Amino acid sequence: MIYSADLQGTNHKLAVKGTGSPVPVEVNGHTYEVDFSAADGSLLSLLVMGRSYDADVVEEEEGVLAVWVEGETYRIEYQEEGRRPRRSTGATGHSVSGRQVITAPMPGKVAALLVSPAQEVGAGQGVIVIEAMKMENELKASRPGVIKEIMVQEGAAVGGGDVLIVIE
Amino acid sequence: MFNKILIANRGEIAVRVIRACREMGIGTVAVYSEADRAALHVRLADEAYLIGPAPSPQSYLKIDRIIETARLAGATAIHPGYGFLSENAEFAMRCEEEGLIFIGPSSHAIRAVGGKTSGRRLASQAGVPVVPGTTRDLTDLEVVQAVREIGLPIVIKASAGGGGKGMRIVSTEAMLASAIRATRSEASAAFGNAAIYVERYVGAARHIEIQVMADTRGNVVYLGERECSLQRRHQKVIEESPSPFVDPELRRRMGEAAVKVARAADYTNAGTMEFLVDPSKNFYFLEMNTRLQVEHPITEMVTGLDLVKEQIRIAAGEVLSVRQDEIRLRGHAIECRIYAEDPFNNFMPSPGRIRALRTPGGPGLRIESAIYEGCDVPIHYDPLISKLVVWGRDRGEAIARVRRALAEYVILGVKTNIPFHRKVLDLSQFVTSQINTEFLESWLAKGLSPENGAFAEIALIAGALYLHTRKRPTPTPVAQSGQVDSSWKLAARQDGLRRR
Repeated sequence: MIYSADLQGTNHKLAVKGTGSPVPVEVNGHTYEVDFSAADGSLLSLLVMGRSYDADVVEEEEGVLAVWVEGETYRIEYQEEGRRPRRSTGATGHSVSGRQVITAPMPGKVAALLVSPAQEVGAGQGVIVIEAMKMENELKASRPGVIKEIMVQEGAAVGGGDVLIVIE
Repeated sequence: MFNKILIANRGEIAVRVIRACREMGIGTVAVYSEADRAALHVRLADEAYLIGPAPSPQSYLKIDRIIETARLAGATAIHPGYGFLSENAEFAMRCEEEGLIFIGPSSHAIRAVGGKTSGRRLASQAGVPVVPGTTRDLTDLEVVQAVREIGLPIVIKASAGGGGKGMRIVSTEAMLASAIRATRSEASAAFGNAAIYVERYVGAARHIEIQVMADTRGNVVYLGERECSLQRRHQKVIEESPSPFVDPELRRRMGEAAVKVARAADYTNAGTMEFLVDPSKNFYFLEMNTRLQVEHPITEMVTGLDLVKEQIRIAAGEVLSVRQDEIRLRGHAIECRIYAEDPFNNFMPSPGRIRALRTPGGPGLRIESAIYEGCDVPIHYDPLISKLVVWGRDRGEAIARVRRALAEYVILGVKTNIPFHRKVLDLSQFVTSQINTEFLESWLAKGLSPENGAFAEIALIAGALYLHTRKRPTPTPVAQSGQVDSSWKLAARQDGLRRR
């Protein structure tokens, strides 16, 4: 099976050449003989050329894995070769036209709206305050623009990724 | 001694108090909001009662409901934990009126010293130096006036604040209005009180606090200090005891000052005096926290005392179990506060479900937490999900141990600040303790880069193997029984069957 994996914006090619363990795995042109074992759940151990790696894997959303190795957590998006690319979730929408979409970075509540429609905003200006886990987080405009649309009201509950404000 | 104690809190501190009660043979009553039905404190308590919807003003802050629940359950004492109602004088007073024992100071003492402004007045009357600023609650207009008098930078603080919440540093006049608004709104949400006051901002100082314990017979002791200078957004991140900066002489002077303030307030039970200490070792009283602190375990590790049990005994009228001359600090303790937040995305809160959890083990290590695999971290409450506390014979061993433990700690499903802790613990400024309350923020201002990538290739392989094995589940009776949530589980079961 051949995978294309995206880790922090860098693409990697992987090929798992067989079944069972140990199994040859090719990563970026190098092939390793990988002995692996899974206990209950997602826990797994890798032995590569005698070195032991402690690992844990959880699928956060389809194709997106949180992989813990020796204390470090990597978020990797996998694509199986020959399969239709999964649609991008696109958290913050920036486009060339200068349109900015302010989205909720996490579920929470709108603590304050700091702007009104048609208002001009500068780069770095706070536009909305989201409260989650008892902390207020001010979201800012990344570039100057004009408030085009405000999709939420003060006090409203919002989900992670919800569009809050559109700036043009 | 009490028969049954109600714990008016949630999360790790509720679990901590329940554990102490169980060891003392005391019955426990948990209260919970609709968001916490499956929370660990509910599971561990002997009894548990629903007290309202998820938002804390409708549940964990509902005085009437909590007192009524204590009555119904037959609890004779209430432990408030930290946060929520723990420093609420009205709650303590209501307990007193209803004949319930509030495990903490009297409502009178909370009023005398717990309000930030009243505490400052009391300390300066007792001859303990305080940071320049106002000693009463201010209107917005008075804040502006005070800022003109004191000069920038200043800190706006919620009079009822605590735990690093409800405070803002203001360095330019342009920031003032929004800072006032934000502080008031955070304060009224978190503490039900929007009162604020102003203090001069002392930069480049250390935040060092003294733990005191006072019984109802007039005995007051101090239990050494905690170094709490490593903060982000005024929220402590890593604490240690003893402070590498404090010598025995400074410890004695600060301890005696703390005891003086406690005596002046007729204080009983556990309390903490927070001080700012400047590079010349001058110290200034900041405020007193009239409750158990989040970071109390590091004091327990170096003194050998159990502060929660001590609190319960004091509330039951018993004498302190130690005298000042019996208190010895042994070794070194460090606490890392593990928050559900994304350190690589401006520390945005990261609520959600804990999908994988493996806790470190071994000697000298303690985990105070209320999460378990499969539990939800709700959006309604504090993002603190665990406290990793280590003890070492000396600071070097403690640092090595906490690094080792963090490298073993697996929490997946929500993002955590564990990678941030690991980076901070590697900094030479931490190792040599060249820190102050501004250090973390200024270090963070340079930007925090994600993992250094030492195991990137292994991670890529591990993920591919996870997907690869999942792709080939041979149907078996086990697989068809439903509820097979992972192919690893399935593979392991198949493996087990084959071996049989």
